[in-house]
Amino acid sequence: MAESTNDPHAGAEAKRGPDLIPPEFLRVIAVWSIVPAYLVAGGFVGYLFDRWFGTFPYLMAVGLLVALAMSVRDMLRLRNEFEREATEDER
Amino acid sequence: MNGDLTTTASWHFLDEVAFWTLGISVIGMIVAIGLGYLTFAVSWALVLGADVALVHFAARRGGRAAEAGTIDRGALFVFAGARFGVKAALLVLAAFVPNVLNFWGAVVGAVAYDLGLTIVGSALALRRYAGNRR
Repeated sequence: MAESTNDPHAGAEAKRGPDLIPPEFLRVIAVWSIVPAYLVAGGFVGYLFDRWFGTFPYLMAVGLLVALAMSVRDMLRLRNEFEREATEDER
Repeated sequence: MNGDLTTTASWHFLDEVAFWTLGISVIGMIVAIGLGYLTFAVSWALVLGADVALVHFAARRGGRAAEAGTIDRGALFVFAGARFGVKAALLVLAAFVPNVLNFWGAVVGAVAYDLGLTIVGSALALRRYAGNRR
């Protein structure tokens, strides 16, 4: 994988060895998979509360919106974490 | 695109995902209309249309600022904040006035772009990554 000395990831890859799935791609998947996971969880919890209280669809709508907002917040947090890791790897 | 919204490429990428999502959704809407779910399709189109329009607006502003080497906080606010406000308003409208908007259509419209970012975005990122490694 690390054919060229100009590759900024060459040092890190040499340490870890070649990856079956590129770590950059896994990072993108990790960051973006937060959104559907949160939406399913938020919508489902809201739906359960709606069934419990008989308030459909109000609490489901609230659950989805809270999930959307939290997913954006956590996507940004995870992205910052990965950026910090990548910077440390390059050193 | 690594999620860094300070580059023109990242904004362009988000805009590209918006139009892919819109294109795929139009096919879904046509199927829904064909099956007789007109209000569902219209609600989906309205909420997704508002979302995609805001993403496009943010991408244009953010992209221009990135080209000039600055960060447009307004574009970031529209992308990460105002979009959710609009979705919230439309979802609440759908929940309280079901005669105007179909709730499930509004839900699909509200989550479509963010799901599109995961599915379409990953496919585009993988294609781009593969292209760069070649």
